[in-house]
Amino acid sequence: MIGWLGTALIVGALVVAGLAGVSALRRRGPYLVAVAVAVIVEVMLVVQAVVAVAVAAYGRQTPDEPGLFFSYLVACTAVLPVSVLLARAERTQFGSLVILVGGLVLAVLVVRLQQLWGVAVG
Amino acid sequence: MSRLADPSAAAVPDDARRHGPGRVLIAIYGTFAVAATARAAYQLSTRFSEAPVAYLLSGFAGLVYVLATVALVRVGRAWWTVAVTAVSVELLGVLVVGTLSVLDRQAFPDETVWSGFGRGYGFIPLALPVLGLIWLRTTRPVSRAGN
Repeated sequence: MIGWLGTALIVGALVVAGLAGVSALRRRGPYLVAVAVAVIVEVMLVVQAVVAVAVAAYGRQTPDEPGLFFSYLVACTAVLPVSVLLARAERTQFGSLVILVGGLVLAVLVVRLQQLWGVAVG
Repeated sequence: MSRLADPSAAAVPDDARRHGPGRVLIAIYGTFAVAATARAAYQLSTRFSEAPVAYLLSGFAGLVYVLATVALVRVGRAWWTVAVTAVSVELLGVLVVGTLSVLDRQAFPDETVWSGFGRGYGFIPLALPVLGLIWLRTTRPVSRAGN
């Protein structure tokens, strides 16, 4: 895990959730900016995933439970795309709530991911 | 991607279940379906002998979430009945397992989704079936005599 990137991912996921929360409170569908931030977070996630796989493959450092770690990694990369797809046909506050749920779930998953990597990360 | 028909205009009770609040429920149920099933599969495959009852229960909970998710997505009266059944079983499960895990900690040496009324998951497992049943009641398919 790249320490700072993990932190950035959590912050990014919470920003997505926060923006979606605002649009939900205003009874609107998700703002475009929320989707844009979600895309950025997703790109960072893919970078993180590639780096984690590369580091583990070269044996520099492997997570304590590799199977669990890589399952979480796959789940992480799926959360935002699925949320955005689910929200797409729902241009109401409920579409926003779907994105809100996705952002919160991703934040929790990234925290678990960091724990599984088993390092004190900043 | 625009929908074929405006969901607000088409008051078809049949697929009302997966729109509006239903979509949020589907998102949360889907999350729990994946999380609980994957967790149980991992527990059962790596350390089944440590706590067979707890892990089998985890697996059962996972299947209930999967069934509830599918039934919420699918259209029709039959699936509505399946959804009500699955969500009722879920409510019963979280109440029974929650109570047992609080009364007798020995019986549940390891956590399941429903342990402590879903404490490990922010009590969402306790709130979810209640919200699900309320939503299903709202979207109960009308019989042909209905409007």
